[in-house]
Amino acid sequence: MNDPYLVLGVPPDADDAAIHAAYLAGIKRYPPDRDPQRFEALRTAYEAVRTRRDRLAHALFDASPPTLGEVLDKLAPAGEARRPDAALFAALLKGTP
Amino acid sequence: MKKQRKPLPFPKPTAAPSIESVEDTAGAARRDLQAGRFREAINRYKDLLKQGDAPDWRHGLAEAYAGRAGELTEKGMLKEALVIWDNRRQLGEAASPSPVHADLLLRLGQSAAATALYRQAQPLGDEAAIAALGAKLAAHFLAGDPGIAEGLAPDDPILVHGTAARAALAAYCAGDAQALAASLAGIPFRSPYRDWAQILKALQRLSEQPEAAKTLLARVADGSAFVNLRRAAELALVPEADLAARLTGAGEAVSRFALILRGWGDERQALWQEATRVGSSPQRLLRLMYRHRARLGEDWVRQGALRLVAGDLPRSLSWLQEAGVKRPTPAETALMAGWQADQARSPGRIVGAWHHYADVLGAEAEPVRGSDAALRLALVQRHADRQAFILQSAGASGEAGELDQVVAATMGRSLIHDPDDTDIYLRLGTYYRQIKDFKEARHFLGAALTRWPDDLQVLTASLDLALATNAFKKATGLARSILDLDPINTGARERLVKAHIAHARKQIRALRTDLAMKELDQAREWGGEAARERIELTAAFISVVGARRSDRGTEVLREQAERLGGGLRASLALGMEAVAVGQPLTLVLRQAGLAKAKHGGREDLLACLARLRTHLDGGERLSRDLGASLQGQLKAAASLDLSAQEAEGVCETLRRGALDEARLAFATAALRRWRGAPRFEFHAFEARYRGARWAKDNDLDRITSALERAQEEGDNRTVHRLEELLREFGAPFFSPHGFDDLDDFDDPDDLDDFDDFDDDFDPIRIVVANLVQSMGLDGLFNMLGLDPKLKRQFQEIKREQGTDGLVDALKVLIGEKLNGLGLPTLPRPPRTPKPPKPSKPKKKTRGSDEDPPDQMDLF
Repeated sequence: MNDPYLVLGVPPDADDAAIHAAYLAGIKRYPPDRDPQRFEALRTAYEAVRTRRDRLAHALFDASPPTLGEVLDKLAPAGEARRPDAALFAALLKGTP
Repeated sequence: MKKQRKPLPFPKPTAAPSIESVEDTAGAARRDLQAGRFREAINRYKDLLKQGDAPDWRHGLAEAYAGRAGELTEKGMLKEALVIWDNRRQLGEAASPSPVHADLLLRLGQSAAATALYRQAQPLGDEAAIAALGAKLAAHFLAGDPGIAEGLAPDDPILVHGTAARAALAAYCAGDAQALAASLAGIPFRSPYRDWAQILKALQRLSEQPEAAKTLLARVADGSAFVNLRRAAELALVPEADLAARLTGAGEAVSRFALILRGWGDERQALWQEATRVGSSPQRLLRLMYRHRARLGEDWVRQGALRLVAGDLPRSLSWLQEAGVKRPTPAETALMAGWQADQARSPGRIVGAWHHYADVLGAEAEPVRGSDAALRLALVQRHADRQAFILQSAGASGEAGELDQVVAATMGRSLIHDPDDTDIYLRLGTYYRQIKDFKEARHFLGAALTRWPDDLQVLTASLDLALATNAFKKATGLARSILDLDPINTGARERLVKAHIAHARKQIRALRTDLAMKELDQAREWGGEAARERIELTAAFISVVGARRSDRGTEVLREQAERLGGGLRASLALGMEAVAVGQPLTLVLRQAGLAKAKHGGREDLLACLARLRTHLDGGERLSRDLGASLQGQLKAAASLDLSAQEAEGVCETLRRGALDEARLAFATAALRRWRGAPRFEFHAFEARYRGARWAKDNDLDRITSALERAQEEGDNRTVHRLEELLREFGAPFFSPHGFDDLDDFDDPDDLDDFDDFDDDFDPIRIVVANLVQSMGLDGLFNMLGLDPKLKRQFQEIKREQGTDGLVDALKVLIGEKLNGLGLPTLPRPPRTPKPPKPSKPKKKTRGSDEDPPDQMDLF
């Protein structure tokens, strides 16, 4: 489905203002020079659900099936990047694949 | 119970037969080694070493041991591999300590043996091996292996730099950037921890500077002791879309490390593992979604399920049943049919599917205007056109068809449910204007103008409609509105000027010069200086018409011709205007003194062609009469000194104006200066043969050579054009002039033999002979629509059996065609004495009669 709501991080019933705010926050966090792919995804998502007409059209005509990544994003979204602990470092240093 | 030994997969090699020489065995051992047959190589080298000692054999055996140990390690037979490494070590100096051996020792927890190996390597002086072994030990030292420190000298770099390396690890894990930087500063460039330092720097930059992180990671080689960390960090940088594929090939520790870096929590990782364990086919994903439907949301799961099965209907309906999902409703089925139609990309199918879905939605209940249901219905009613560009295509063709009329009507109805989409009014207005249903166009654009009076797109579309319907007063008002909103809208201004001039010309044709003058006044008001020349030229013809071809008219025309330079530019401008206002071209040019005008040099030529280009850019054509009138003057200008770029520009413009005689002259002149230049070869050939179905062999050869040269020069446009020409004209045998013996048919006396019908009168044979005589062989072939293969066959018959044989063969074919038309059988003529042969006339020169009149010699 390439769920634009997931990309923007807004609920499916979000209105124009909420979507616009989420888009602005997203592109501020991932500007094109830092993460061009994420920026492009945000732009595409925003264009897809910017207005009420867009949202209804997306629901009707976007026939792309959901992906495992989307299912995971809904069930257990990825959070902030973390740092592995010393034990995990040790495992890799010892050659554990 | 003692494990029974499995039989060996290969028979144990026996000692080399006595008849095999030492050289033979050494050669075989080398071949075994190269082919990866390590066991066989080991046995052969061992045999050789029993017979004597040679450094090559010892090195070969060491290599074979290392290869075999590697095989065993890959199979997980670590202890067995270690035995092989020990055997290798017994070879002494021939077997330098290997990092792979050290790696195995470390994996088996034999740190002391690994450090011993490292110490053993140091006096041998193999810097690369020492560095690799040192990095292995350093990685294990960092991992907390206590045995490493015990086996090393206190001043060994592994220990000396190890303190800083461990501090850096602690600082990174604690997120202390300052301490990390300080610790990394304590690791020199030539250190066993060099790769470690690169990786920590990269990890620091993963989020903020991913490209810099990638660069740092790229410095860590595949054989590094720290390569697993590099792989994990790289995996953390992989785009989301590629992650699944990359994770599949990665080990568990590497994946876990990467996923933590990406912010994946334990639950997400567990779900990922669950999903990848069962596979990610649509059915399995459907089951996973349905199992978690409470958290995912019932509606989201339902919508996702429909999309998962839509691509594989009707087989996939069983997946829904298996996952416990309800069967699709009629509306959902219609929606899925719409998605399938979109994929099929057939306009008819798209219209059918989406209009059906609209009917299903409309039948459920009349939607309340402004509701989601109403907007949804409107969107569905419009989707077919958005998907298949039906109105745009039909509009561009200017002709209405059944499909686009249905689509337009449905789109029109959609405005009842959603009247707020400007684009729909514009699309409908443009479509109806293009198919000349001006009433409907006015209906939609009028409604749009009422709703959005200041919308530039609506105003521009309304202006176009007003101009198309000659509503100049309205067009003026609309143009003023556009220019009020957008004062530099040159498009609106230009369109209006053009329309006024066009209207003025129409009035001139109707001899209403006063009205024409008013139109030109309007054009002057809007056009300003830029349009002055065009307006004045039209105004001149008002005077000419008003003077009713008197001396005053001639005077005006001469003034205009003089103002325009009296050459090519003047001829073109006055000629085009004469055609536009319906005045006799020849008379106008004669009165203007341009009937036999000469070109006015390079500037005049370029100005003339610039004017012609502008005329053609406006979508207008050059009249045939004017074109014919200009060709002579243009041809005379072909000798002018032009740059290659100018000459090409001239040829391109003449091509667009279909002035092929002149183009041929320019291309030929250009080829004299730029011999074999592919772009001019193209123009020369195309100008000569435009509309023809055959070409001379040597001309085809020339464009074949030009094609090769254009390919070498990378001139893709000319390559494409020449390829098109060659495709169009096919092989050389299309040319009647490619066969000298066809000249035989030029002389009717050569067909005298066919008159001998006393004994075997054959009317079809006579017809064939006459056709061959009058049309030439290729002309006849083309008339009969023969394919190249058949043509080749007839040519072969002609070569092998002569004219008689050819006519006989053609007779069969033509006879069938004539009979197929139901023509009456030709009466047999009465027997008459054969008349005496007239004296043989002089043979016609080749290409005299059969050449089309417009085809001159090219070179």
